[in-house]
Amino acid sequence: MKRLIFSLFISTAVSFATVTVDGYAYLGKQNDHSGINIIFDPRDTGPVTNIATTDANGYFTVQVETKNYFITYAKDGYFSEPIKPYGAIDFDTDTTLSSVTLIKQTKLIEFVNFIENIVVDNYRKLDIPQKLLERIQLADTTSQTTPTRHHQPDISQTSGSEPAIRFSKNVVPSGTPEKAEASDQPVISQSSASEPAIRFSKIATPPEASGEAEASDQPPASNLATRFSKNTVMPETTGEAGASDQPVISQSLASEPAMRFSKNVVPSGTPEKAEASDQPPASHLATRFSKNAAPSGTPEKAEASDQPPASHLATRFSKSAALSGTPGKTGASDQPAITTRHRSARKLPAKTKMGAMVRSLLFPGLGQFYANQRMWGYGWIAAEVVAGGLIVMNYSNYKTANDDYNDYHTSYANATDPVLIAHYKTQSQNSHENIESAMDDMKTMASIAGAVWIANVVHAYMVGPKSEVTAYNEIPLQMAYDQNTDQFKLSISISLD
Amino acid sequence: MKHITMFILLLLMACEEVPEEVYDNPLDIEAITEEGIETPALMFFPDEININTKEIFTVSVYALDVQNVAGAYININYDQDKLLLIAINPGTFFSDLQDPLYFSETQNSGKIELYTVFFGADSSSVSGTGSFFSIMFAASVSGTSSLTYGTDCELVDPDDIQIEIKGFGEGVVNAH
Repeated sequence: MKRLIFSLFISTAVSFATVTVDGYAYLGKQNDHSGINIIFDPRDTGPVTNIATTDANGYFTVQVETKNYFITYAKDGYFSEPIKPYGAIDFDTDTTLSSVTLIKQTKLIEFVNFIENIVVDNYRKLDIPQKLLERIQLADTTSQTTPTRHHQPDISQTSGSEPAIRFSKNVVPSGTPEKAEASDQPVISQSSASEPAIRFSKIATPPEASGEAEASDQPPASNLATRFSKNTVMPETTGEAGASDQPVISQSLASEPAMRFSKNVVPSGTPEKAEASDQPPASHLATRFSKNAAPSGTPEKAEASDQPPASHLATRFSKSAALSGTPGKTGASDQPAITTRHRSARKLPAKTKMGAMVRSLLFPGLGQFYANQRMWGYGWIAAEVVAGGLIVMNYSNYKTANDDYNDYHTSYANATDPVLIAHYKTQSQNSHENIESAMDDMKTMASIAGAVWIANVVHAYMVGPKSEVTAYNEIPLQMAYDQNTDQFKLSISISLD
Repeated sequence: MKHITMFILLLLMACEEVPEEVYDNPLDIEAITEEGIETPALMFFPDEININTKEIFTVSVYALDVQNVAGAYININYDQDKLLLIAINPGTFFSDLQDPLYFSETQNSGKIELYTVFFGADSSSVSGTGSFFSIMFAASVSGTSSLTYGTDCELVDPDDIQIEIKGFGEGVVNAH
């Protein structure tokens, strides 16, 4: 009994033995290091937490039980720091911890943190990962119980509550292929819950897709409306899809970044299977910046699965690809029906002489270019450029002479020495003559340039394209002799269109 | 842009004009001859002054194209209601001669009488164009007033023979 009591005492004493832990913690670029909380959070027990606080010198000390603790240094406005190197320490004896310096949060960092918190909060509110998991579970359940219903894609789960997103990742987790194999259900999409990029994804299925799929007993695949997406059929997925009746529509790697330029990739490795397939090649991606790679592995699986392997991605940019793919089931639609929208070509107005003339009126030579008289166009432009250059040159001369005149005339007006008066007067007169000469030349060249311009306009009209609508070359008169009435008949026809 | 630049350039060129050629220096013999003033003449320089009221200006009394001048008597009239006589200073016409004498007599009647004479041993004289005096005025009130020479002005040679003055200039002061 005594031994038992002694052993209990010893064990109690050992289990509640305390050690003293001290050390230093500092605030970066501060002289007063007080107020830093050192939080000792035991790993193995509940909410028993010891907290030490530093003094102005950064020193702290605390009595803790001999346990393994997570230790965190924290202070408002500073980045928290765990103890290095592993964040936890096992205390057996009195210990002095190595010093830690906390870094102050700048406003920018605070702002970033603020934004990050908002985003994370909203992300949690959306609860997307949970929904996706539910969807997958539902798909699994239905595939095991009611295969016929599996042909209806689980579209409803992707709509509505999901945020509108531009960058998408469609993920088929590595674990789901087996389920897809067992089921006839297309694995539409799944996003990784832990993936931040998921916040920027949207999985949308056009309403008509579900109807078609239902009626044709086809999985409408998933029509994923994404602007920029990457659809990937993973290697393991293809194999499983081969066994399944459903195409694996899309899968994205959770760890991959959201991509702007999409590419449909099916890993190589099963090209020979494609030969045996009479299924249309898999994915019809309509994206403006996409590269559609016919998956080498998919056809074979499509063959085995009687299903279009495809993913029908209708994108905002231009091409809608609809696959009606299942030969056996749809019968009439053995070939993929591809609907492509074409923007109707805008009919250009016919070229006219007036058009050429107006263009040449705006700028010399334009009308000639308009009339496909390129050499003439260049010629008129050159002529006008030369004339314009001469005008500018004479204008420069005019300005120079005018400035000289003003200078000399001012000097003349202020001069009192008869010699200087005569000198400045002569210079002023010469400058004035230069002004007049430059002005005359400028006017002459302006006249020439104007004449060239007018000639260019006239020429543009002359060489301008003739209108396609012309008068009748022949007068539509017909004259005939009617033997019955013994009269001549004259008829004229005028087209009213 | 190119078109706009070209258009602006053409517009500027269209607005350019040849400046009017005006030569009106009162000491320019050709110019004053065209205005009907013959030489030898007595002129004011400048002959047109534009100033603000209370401002001081200087006008010089010039003999234009004279020969062998050794002395002068100059009589100037001004509007004493508008101009205030400040000072009278010797000119530069006789500055190369030895010890020229300058006298001036001002009256409240708006009349200034100026005398200058040179008594050289070798009976020296000056010819050409030069100033006898420079006179400082202030415009007391705004308006236009004139400076004129009296008809009794005289120029004499070393032998005290009078030199005929054929022309008299006039000064105009515009006070704003």
